[in-house]
Amino acid sequence: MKKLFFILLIGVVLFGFYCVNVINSLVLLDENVKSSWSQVLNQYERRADLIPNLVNTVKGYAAHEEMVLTEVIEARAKATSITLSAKDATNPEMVAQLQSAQGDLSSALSRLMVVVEKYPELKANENFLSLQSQLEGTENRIVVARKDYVEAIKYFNIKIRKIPNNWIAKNFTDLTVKESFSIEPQKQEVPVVQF
Amino acid sequence: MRKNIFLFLIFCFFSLTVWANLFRPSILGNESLPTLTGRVVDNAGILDVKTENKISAILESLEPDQVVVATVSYLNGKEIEEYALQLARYWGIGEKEKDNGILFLIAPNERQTRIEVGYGLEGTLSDVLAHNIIRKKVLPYFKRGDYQNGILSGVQAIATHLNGSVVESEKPISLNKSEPMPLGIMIFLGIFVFFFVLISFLILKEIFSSGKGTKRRSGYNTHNIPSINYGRSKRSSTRTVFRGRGGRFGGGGSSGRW
Repeated sequence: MKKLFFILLIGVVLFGFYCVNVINSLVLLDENVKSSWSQVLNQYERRADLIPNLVNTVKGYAAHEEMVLTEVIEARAKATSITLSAKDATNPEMVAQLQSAQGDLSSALSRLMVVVEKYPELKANENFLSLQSQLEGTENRIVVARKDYVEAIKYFNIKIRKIPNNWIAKNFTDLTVKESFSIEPQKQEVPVVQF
Repeated sequence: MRKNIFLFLIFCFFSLTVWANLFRPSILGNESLPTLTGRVVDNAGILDVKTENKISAILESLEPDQVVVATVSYLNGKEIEEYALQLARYWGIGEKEKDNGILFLIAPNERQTRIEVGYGLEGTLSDVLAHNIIRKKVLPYFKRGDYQNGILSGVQAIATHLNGSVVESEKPISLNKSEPMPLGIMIFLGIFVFFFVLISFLILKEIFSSGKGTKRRSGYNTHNIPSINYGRSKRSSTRTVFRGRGGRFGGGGSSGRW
């Protein structure tokens, strides 16, 4: 009888260690999700910072393209007005709003780049080229940051949904499964043809 | 006897699950990526030996920054931005704490090239600089079909800009999920865990044996346990293999198409 007691005791102790291990892993993964999200926000901000310069440079050569330039400025204003903290990352509505606004900004920027094609002098301007490569770099970083964010959520969810981790998480932490947002690719501009 | 076998099986199962959990398989789908064989990985076969050695020498002089030049015949249908990032991360170019890695990737068949810059070097080799290098030093040669001089010129330009300073930029918390585990270590750990569990089982058995004078020797004799064979004895540990040191990448750098 005493043997059985010891075996059970060892079992409980081992399970205790396992619980600690799981909780600590979840904490690490949760922090990773938070920091990937702030990376996404960082890159959005970085892009927003590039735009005033870009607009001014283009204006210098293509002042008549008022419409596109205004679109970009307005889209940027709207996107930067939506500020999300790491906490809000779990609020699907706010995230959707942010993604939508950023998507609109991406579209406005693409349209601007199309317009720029018409001005070879602008395209050859070193300042513009520098801004353009910074913008491209930032766009790439945005893609990467979003990919990393989705992956961070995936790893967290995998860990927390496993057995017995889900039980452990429910009873010893306040962490829950995170909603993974479908991060839509750049909104494609579909031209509406009116007959 | 049956109870012993039962307990033994439980311990085997336990040690197996522990061992199996040590090696979570990579979910990233990196099977089709080339292997990192050295500082220059010329899978597209566009560099001759002389140029390759010249490039290798320049790259070696840039240590501790780890710069790798790679050429590939296929991008597997991906754009070079996606491929370069995946490859740079898979190879883990650059040092773990400094993230000072750069991957210069050339895909001659898809006519795309990219300089992928690790977090730690984004300040030194900015997107603009990388773009200028590609535009001014590399593409002019590539457009003429001269890959050797184009790559060499690009490497020289990168080397000129890397003057040792590593600038801190935004870095996320590292998650130890992309380190490949060599087979030898896997086997070693497996054997270690197995023997650890076996020994604990035996110790416990001794503790719980019904006291003195058990004539039933169940055949487990401590003298029969062979010494733990460290898997390393099979590999020559003197060979210095070039491998990435865990540097991280965030999508910085620039691409060129021609």
